[in-house]
Amino acid sequence: MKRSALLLLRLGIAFAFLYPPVAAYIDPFSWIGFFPQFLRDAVGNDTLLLHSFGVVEVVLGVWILFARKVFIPSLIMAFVLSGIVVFNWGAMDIVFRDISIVAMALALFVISYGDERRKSGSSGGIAT
Amino acid sequence: MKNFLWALAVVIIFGGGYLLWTDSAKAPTVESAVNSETVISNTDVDNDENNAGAEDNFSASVAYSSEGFSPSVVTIKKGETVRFLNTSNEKTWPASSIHPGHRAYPGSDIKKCGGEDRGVIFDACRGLIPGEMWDFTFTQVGTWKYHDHMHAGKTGSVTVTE
Repeated sequence: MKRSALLLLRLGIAFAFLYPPVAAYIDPFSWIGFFPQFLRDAVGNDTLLLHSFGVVEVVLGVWILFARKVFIPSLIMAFVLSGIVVFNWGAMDIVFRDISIVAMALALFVISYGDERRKSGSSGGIAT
Repeated sequence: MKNFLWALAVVIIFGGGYLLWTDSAKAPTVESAVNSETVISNTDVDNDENNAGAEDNFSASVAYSSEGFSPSVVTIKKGETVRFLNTSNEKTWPASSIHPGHRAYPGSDIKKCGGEDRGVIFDACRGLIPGEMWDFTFTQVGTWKYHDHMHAGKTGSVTVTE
């Protein structure tokens, strides 16, 4: 039962990171607006920023679906989503869902980190 | 159970991909969404001849800067016009909430930007360059939230009374 619940969590969070890069490829103007202006100014190229971030999202999404040590991407995802919420506070009508996904990511982090610690404790080293 | 979840994931991914694909076929392109009727450039403001097509009797003016829209809340009467002026160094794209569909104001939809209804929807339909302005006449009573499509966190609202 726990494995199924974890799988659901991983699927849900992964979808939140795999959908945006695909949608941004089709309609970039609807997504570039979520980046803070200082970041857009720093990069200097909205398209480059959008698709580079998209690559990061795909890596995180695939990692959390298929790879081990999912506490790492889940924690990164929680930070990324928190940043999106903070920098788009005025768009709460949209980003309120991100707060829920942050909670999901943190739940996954807590569970998977606990599992890793138990594994490393029983085997005498960190599982790879 | 695990097989069912994976099957569900495959259905969601492919179903979502199909919806995205069909949706993109109807989405307007930025180039085709120019609203030439209500947009004037700042260089034309002091030239009466070039302002012939612009609204002179707007009731409220909203300036967009790096801080956002100011004033962020305005109240007008039904049938009156709000002028949005870009005073920032970036492009701004005022449009009805909710991002990114822009459907909160009755009849508005970003998909109409490339069509015949372009002039009557609460949507600039493109990024206004620095100094550029865009007028919109509100015919629907209510409080209408809007945002900058290019900076989704920058928002404001227009309250329209009888």
